[in-house]
Amino acid sequence: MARFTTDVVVIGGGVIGTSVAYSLARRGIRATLLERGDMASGSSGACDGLVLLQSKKPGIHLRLAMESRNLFDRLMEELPVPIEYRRGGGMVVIETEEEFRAMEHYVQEQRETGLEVALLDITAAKSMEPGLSESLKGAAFSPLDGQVNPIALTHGFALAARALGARVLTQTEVKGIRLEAGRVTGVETDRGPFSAGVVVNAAGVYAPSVGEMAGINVPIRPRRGQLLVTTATKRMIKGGFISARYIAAKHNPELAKGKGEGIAIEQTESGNLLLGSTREFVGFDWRTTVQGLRGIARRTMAVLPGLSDLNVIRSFAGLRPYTPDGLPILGPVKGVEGFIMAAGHEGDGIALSPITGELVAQFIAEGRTEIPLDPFRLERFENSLSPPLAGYKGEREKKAHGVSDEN
Amino acid sequence: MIRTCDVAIVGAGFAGLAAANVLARKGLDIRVFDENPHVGGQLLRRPGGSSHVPGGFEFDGIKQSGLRLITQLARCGVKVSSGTQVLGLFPGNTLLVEGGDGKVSEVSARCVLCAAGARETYLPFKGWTLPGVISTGSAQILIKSSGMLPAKETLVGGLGPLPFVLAREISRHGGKVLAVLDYAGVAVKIGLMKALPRSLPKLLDGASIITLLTLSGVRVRPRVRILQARGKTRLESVVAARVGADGQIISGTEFSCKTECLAVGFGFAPNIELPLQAGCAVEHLPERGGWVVRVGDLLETSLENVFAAGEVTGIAGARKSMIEGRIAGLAILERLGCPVPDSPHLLQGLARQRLEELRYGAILNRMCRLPSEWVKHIPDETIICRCEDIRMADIRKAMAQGFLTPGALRKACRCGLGNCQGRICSPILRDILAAETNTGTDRISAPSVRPPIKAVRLGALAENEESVT
Amino acid sequence: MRIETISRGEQVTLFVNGKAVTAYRGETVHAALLAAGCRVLRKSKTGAESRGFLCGMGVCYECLVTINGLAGQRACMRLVEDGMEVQIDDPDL
Repeated sequence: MARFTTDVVVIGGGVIGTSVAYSLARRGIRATLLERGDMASGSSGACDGLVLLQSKKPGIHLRLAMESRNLFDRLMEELPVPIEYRRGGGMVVIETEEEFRAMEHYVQEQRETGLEVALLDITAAKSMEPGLSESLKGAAFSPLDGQVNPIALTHGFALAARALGARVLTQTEVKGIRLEAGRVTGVETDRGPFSAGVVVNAAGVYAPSVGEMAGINVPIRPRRGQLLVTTATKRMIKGGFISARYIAAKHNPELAKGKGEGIAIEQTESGNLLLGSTREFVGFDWRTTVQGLRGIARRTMAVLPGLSDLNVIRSFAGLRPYTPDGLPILGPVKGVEGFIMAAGHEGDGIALSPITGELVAQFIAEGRTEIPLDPFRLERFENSLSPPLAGYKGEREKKAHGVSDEN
Repeated sequence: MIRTCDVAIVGAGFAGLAAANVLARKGLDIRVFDENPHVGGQLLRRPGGSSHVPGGFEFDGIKQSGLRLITQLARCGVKVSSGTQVLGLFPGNTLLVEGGDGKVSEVSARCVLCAAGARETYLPFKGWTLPGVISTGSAQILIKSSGMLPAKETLVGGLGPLPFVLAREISRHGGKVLAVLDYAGVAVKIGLMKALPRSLPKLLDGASIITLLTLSGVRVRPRVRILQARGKTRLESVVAARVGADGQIISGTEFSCKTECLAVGFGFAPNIELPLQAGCAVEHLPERGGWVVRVGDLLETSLENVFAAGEVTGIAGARKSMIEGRIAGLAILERLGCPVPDSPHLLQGLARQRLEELRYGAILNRMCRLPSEWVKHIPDETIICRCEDIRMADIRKAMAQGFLTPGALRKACRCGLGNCQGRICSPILRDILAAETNTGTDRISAPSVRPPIKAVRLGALAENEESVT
Repeated sequence: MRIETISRGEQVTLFVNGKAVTAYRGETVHAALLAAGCRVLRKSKTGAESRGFLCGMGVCYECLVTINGLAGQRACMRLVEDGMEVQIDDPDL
């Protein structure tokens, strides 16, 4: 088998990995992206495309989201695939009086950080989105929220990276990471070895397995989100919808307890409605369930009752890479020179993919980043390093339940 | 609230009905679900669901047996829920079901039998999406269930026995068949006839069909390909040409036929969506028609207490379906602790018969295969995914960009993401990928199937009320 | 076109785009529409093409019509009922 040499190996062909490869290629850095299945065959191919600012906690998380969002216009021009990015606005739908009161505080805080957002009563909300149920209390609306096509975005990054000289390989599985005296020297794959001084772990929910190969403990757990897809139909909603339930809970944690799941809804360019979601810790189970299907249907009907006659033609589930503090894990890892983390975006991967690619590439190229990576580093968690093992080969988490790399 | 029963049978065709008859009158709670308005599946169709069968010759013996299954079942009091779609099979053997009243409910069964039969496959040609181009099955259904001819004059074409059987049916009922365009040739059929003396009676049926057709003035044109269906908003004419022994179009042999209806039939694809969604192991067996559910000798799948019978375990016709329905019925009785006294002896005999029918099926399936290179001649503008309007050019472009698995193509092109959930285009895409990547079709992965396996109203999923099935 | 030698159920009336059409109990909406001369049912997803019946057995989802106000119904899977209202997009009608 041929022996390949490259500057950077990026592990994972989802939206994060391909964004990193693209940003590296734009800087003239030789990159090789390795994906064991198809592009976007993991979480990036099993999610909605909401690009929201409202759901981000004011502070570093919101700042990251805003920087990322600003990059989408450029990407629309640069990527060879239509990524279907549009700013149709976003509604945070409020179902109870307590939620409304909590949202009053939250919206106030958001406006103080400069976010354009307004709290609307149900009449005002309905004038913008007539399909909303009368029984809702209102909604917080921001015109800055939008959506994109996650698969097109991933494909766009990958094809653009390749056009700029990156090597993009699918059906190629990384089996181990080569270490010498605490430095990365390359990876082992089922197609032979690749030499590289830098390895980027962009393996999403499988990032812990990749971390293990380098003796690193990555605290990412899969959190399943189920989605229903309706048949294509005329435009029924202008923007995206999510529930206030979880956002309000950031101010009043009581609100999140025992209330079950919230909704996440968008209508894509092709006219299908994506109806979500669930938040379940079920390990690596990519299946959808009866409870998931029926629960999402019920919760959707409570918000947009006019959708009742639409046919549901498909469902799928994605595994969000969940971290204990809700922030992604980005940047270098102490003790393993050349090993860079770029995973753990839990439900924000699509929205944060542009900025993640840029920050990681900037760090690799210049050793510094415009937005400091300290709040995102792996070291913020304890026990991030097991004793370093040279040439360690870890076990990959297998996809459970006979799921092929298709969604 | 989940309702429970002892056995749930999905599909009331030959296999499902045969199983239900074996299971009846043993004190078990049996539910049979079928999506069609009438009981009997694709093969047992009678006008308006009546019990009268218009006279015929081939398959008549088996059809009479099938009709007896229906009447016997009615006498046993086993209820068949018609117009009922099964949307998925979940852990605990729980079926999600949409009743004829449009309401969704859950039914849990100790044993489940998947017997959803097969559907037709298609070889796309330019213009095949024009209204007026239909499947041979569609024409058969019109004739048998609704007493209607597909048109005053019908052009028939395709591969295998389907076009001939339809042409015979149309002629018998006083309709005109303009011609039968046979993609293979008489030589192929004679060659296959030699292969299995024991199936001679069935194959002689085939030979007599051709003879009868010729005698009634129907022109049979062997070794042709349909090149294009032409028309503005509906079919007006069909262009075809002869092919040589190597499958290449012989230039200068193009001919045109004016018609408002073209019925095409090629082969079958087993309806394995429910077992796939449930997580049953499947295998690719060309002699059984492609991707089928993997079953043991007693027709249990890789999932405990989930059985499969009929075309879903292999395309081989009505007799195999009936035999397998019986086998599954007996196996389920054993599993539920109420075996029939001479069960082992019966099962031995049925196993032998099953082997016979599988051999016959292998011939049938070989008749319905074209070498995978045929896809290379599909013109760029030909629609491949009808639901999403995806053309061959779009697929070629995606393949050139490196999207070379069914899942990758689905993501890159959207083929298979429409209302039919990939049922029409998946077999075609498999052949395209096999030809393009020089891989055997068995190495192209089977699709991953998620519920609902048939379209269902969002409102129905959301309701808490139980369906009265 | 209906086969004369087959005996049928009782006659019923459908309204296809408002126009009264004769059908017989036991027939599918597919058959009734065909007998009334309707082969073109709708436009394809991108609107580029006309579409009509294909598989006749509920698999292809091409024969989608609106029945009694509910869109997306497969004509081949529904039996005719007296007074049924069917809407189709046929430009030729």
